[in-house]
Amino acid sequence: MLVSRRKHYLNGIDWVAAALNYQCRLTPARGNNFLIVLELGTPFSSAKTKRLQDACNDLPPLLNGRIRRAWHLAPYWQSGPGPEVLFSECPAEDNSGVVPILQEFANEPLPNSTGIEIKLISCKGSGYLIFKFSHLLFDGRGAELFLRAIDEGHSDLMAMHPGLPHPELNNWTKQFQAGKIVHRKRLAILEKYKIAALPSGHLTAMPARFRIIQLDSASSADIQKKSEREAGPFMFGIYLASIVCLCFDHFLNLRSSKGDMLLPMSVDLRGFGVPSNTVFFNQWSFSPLIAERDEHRELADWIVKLKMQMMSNAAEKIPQSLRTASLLSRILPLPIMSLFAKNIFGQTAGSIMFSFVSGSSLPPAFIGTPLLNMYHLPLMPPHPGIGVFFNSFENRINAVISYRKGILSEDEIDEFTHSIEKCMRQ
Amino acid sequence: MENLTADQVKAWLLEEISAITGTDAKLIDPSLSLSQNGISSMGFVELLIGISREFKIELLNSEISPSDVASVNAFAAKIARTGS
Repeated sequence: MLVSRRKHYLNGIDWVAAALNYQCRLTPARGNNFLIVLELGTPFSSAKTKRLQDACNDLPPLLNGRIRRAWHLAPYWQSGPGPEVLFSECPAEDNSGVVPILQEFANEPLPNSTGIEIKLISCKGSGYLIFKFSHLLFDGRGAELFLRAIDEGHSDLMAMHPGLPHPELNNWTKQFQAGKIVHRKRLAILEKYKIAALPSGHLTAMPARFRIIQLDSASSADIQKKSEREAGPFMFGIYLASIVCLCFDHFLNLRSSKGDMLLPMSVDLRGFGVPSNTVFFNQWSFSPLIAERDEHRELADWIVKLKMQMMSNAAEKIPQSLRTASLLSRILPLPIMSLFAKNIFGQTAGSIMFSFVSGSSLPPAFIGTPLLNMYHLPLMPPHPGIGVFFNSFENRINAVISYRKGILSEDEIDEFTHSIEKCMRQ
Repeated sequence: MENLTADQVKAWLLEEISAITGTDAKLIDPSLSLSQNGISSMGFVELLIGISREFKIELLNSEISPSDVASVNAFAAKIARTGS
């Protein structure tokens, strides 16, 4: 395979992702990775395994690389030799044995500099195909698009937007203006609110842990109808964020924690139709949502509060400005960038992370094997150390509570998970 | 706003949906739902911002039911009703 020496310049959000990756350097996974789990309806045959491995052997060199800096300081991704994608298999007695395997796999570092690794778990009559991705190269939606491309047998993956073609060192005025908007928003939050966050200083080297909630089609339809009724059409993400606020507020009350909550809500900036040429690197930004804890609030109150903020953030173009302004941050060395990302809102980056990946980009079958479900397992960086991540697949809604071991006791995480699930099923 | 008709709103909506989704306005089918015409959650929020700017209507504060967004025509009628 020819080795590409092309430089793929990183955008500002890639640099944020690199800072989060740096924050995870002492954890067992040694990086900011995430899994995509495909729950298979039938066993994955050896012929299909071979087809997948062949597809992986043909992956572009981009999948194996590292971050470098050009002479003008713009960071770029330098492709190495062709990636060697590790593929392993292991059996599980039944579905209950899967979560420990997932946790173990998630906490293992990606091999060498390759941005992807695959594991097949075989259960009786079914199985799980798990893909581990590095956030340096993929975001959640990009990883789904990548799997779709593998399934469809795309040969020219490199054409799928491999980073910025040039270092984006122009348009300084635009970048500074965007920076001004972001800085004003940041100051407005810092001046008015004291953000509650769980103590996370001791989590630097802790492993990642997960709790998974899966709704069947009927319960998923119920919650979506309820969301339309209570939050209005197109507000399902806000409805789910409100559930997180309700449950986390209750949890903070039990701990007698003071302060308001800040949810940095991930926003996908790919836009209409999710163009398939945005597979690689990070295309997201975030919309900071404040949840004031000055009085007792019901779900409906949180919905109104968050909806108004999402609207005003969108009107002020906060997510887009953050993306543009972050181009300026690429001058910072990663240790400093990491500190900045960790403390962007005073002593915190947020109280709890939140995202909702709606409308899966994956078809209901992968390499001819029917899929029962698909969900994302992001590893939380040590700070803020906890997040709730939702996705939908074929009319099913999943929630993953991802946290660093030690941020909560096991009883607390049980209760928090139970309260989220109860709200989702009500 | 006086004499706001559903047809006027519809013409504006088609242009706005076209700008948000990048689809030619002529290819947008007003009998289809907003999501069938490519509007996502963020796209819907952009639409609401545009409606607020153009017609001075804060739709987020009023009741929007699923039937209001079941078609571009229905949404135009809802905006016209709210604005009258």
